Amino acid sequence: MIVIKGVPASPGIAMGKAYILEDEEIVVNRVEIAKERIRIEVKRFKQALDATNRDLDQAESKVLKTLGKEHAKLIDTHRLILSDPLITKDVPRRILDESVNAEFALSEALDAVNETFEKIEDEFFRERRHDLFDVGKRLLSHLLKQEKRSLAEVDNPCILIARNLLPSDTVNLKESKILGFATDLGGRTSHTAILAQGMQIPAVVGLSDASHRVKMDDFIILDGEHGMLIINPSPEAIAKYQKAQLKTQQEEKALEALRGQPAVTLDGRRFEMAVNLDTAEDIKTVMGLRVDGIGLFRSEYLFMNRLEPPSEEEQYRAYLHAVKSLAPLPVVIRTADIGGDRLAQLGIDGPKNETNPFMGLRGIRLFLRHSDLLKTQLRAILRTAQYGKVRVLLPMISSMAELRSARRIFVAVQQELLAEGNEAAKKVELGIMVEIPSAGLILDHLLGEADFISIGTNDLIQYVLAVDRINEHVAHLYDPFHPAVVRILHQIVETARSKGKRVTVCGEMTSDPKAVPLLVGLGVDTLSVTPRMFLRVKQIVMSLRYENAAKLVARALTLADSDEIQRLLTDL
Amino acid sequence: MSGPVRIQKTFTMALNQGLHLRPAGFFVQTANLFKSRIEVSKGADKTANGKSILSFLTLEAATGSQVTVTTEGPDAKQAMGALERLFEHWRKDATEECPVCKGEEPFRPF
Repeated sequence: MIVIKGVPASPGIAMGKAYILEDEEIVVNRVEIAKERIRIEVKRFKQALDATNRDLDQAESKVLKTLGKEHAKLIDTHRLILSDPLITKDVPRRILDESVNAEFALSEALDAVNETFEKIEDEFFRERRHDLFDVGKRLLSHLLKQEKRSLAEVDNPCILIARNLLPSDTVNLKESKILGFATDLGGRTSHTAILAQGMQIPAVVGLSDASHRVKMDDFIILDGEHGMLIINPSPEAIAKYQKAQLKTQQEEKALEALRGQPAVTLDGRRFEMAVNLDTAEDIKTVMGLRVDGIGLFRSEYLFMNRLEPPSEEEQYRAYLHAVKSLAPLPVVIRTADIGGDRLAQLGIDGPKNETNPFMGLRGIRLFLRHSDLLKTQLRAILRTAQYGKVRVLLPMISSMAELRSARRIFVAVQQELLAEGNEAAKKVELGIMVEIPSAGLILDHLLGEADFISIGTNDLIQYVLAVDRINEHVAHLYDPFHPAVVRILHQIVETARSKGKRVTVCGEMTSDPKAVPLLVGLGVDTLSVTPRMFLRVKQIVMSLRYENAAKLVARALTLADSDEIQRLLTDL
Repeated sequence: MSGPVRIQKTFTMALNQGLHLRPAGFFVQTANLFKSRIEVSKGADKTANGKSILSFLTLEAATGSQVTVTTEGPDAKQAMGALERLFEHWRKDATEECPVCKGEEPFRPF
């Protein structure tokens, strides 16, 4: 048994016989071309370009069919490379200047470009040279009139092992019987890795010399999760992975069955199960999960990677897509929780290099300082109200004054829209994130001005415990089971309940299987979970008895120590 | 029209080089619509041919980096105008679309 560690490129476990794809060593000889034949040589090259262009058209329709529009853009890149002067102009020039054959001129030109690419420091840009090789190989095979290797001949389920897989090879994998693939070269961001994820084929790349160490028909275990290739595994290893594979399959099946089921505990208490959304692009995934709503639409992404804040129209389009897709289910949109550093990038005056950005000008503090940003965003959100059920959530509220100021702007926008004939905006609820301890402590007052609350556990824990999770020296002190965290959560939920207001919990705690019984026992109304963990968390909720979980919380409130609370949870 | 012109302007890359190099691709496609020579440089030591995707990529121009574009030739003004529009579009509306080469066939050699 040999275990080789590589780079995990696409998750999943595959087991089967190895199929080794021989490295195509294309030998290119230098041939002197007589003066009178040079024109013919250049013409031959141009014909190869045309033929390659036709190849790309074919590849494009194939990718469109099997993988969709997003991946088809890869072909655009290849077309652009094929039309690059470094190929279209440089190769004919070399043929002319050096009186050589087209194949040799091309391989010289490719070598020259590759040399500059190898010097690129950024991995993402450097990895693009595989796209260049891909196009170069297609061209060469047309010049040499060689058939490009095809994976169609693989007709038994197997694990493909190769020195390198070019994106165009990878695209063909979907229709073949390949269980997974492993390559010596490649990185996490190569197109090959991205395509493998898109096709949901387990893959490990960057295995250095694995393709020489594996022999045809060797039995292989490919662990895409951990980036491991196991050659001729021991019976124990096979048993272990078979068990893992079976378990994953069974678990997936059990989870699948939960789609669309209401999240009701064994003793009949229903919890609303929503998801957190990081970008509008995830909506399709979310719809497939059959959620009860979007509990937290993080709008920050709209403010990233740009030099001016997004316009009302652009924001409106993004929110409308979510609201319309989910209608009549609710979509809770949080106004952007961005910091001062982002502001400077957006061309607005703001503090740079704050010593402690988590306690600095961010969230609602920043949006009240630049109320035009808040107003624009609120307008964009409220305009969607006539198409579904939308709610607004304010981040980083720490005082009554902040909430009042924000509400004034909110009401002004509602009236503005009413004057414009939008009556639905008037009914939109305004909620607050409870993530700063002060908001938790004066929640009874805040609830006079807020329609609902959402507990942001990440920040709340960080502020209650004074622990910066990014700081490696104290990160271990970050503890969702600290008695102080349990107590403040309890106080927040009880206060909201006494005022008859709904409580959502978002943040990572909702996606931590160990913490779910605690949240259920606290009696929150909605759990807003990261999509990846949605069904898993629902399964936990459905396996609990609310009464038992509530007793557990009562018990936890009397304990002094995190370990004791955690033990309580594992014993449940 | 007067003779060849040389124009130089500096821009900030506002869009992340996406998964499929679309921004770089649009720049190159737009540049190829013109006769003028188009050069892009980053810092003091890196210069690329604005009409070559391969050359453009070696600049490693990520979001926030400054690039200087030089157009030189009979349609230098129009070329700069088009590229300016492209940068402006990325700055305002982070969509991966090209306002200039929209609707055009992908650039083909010969």
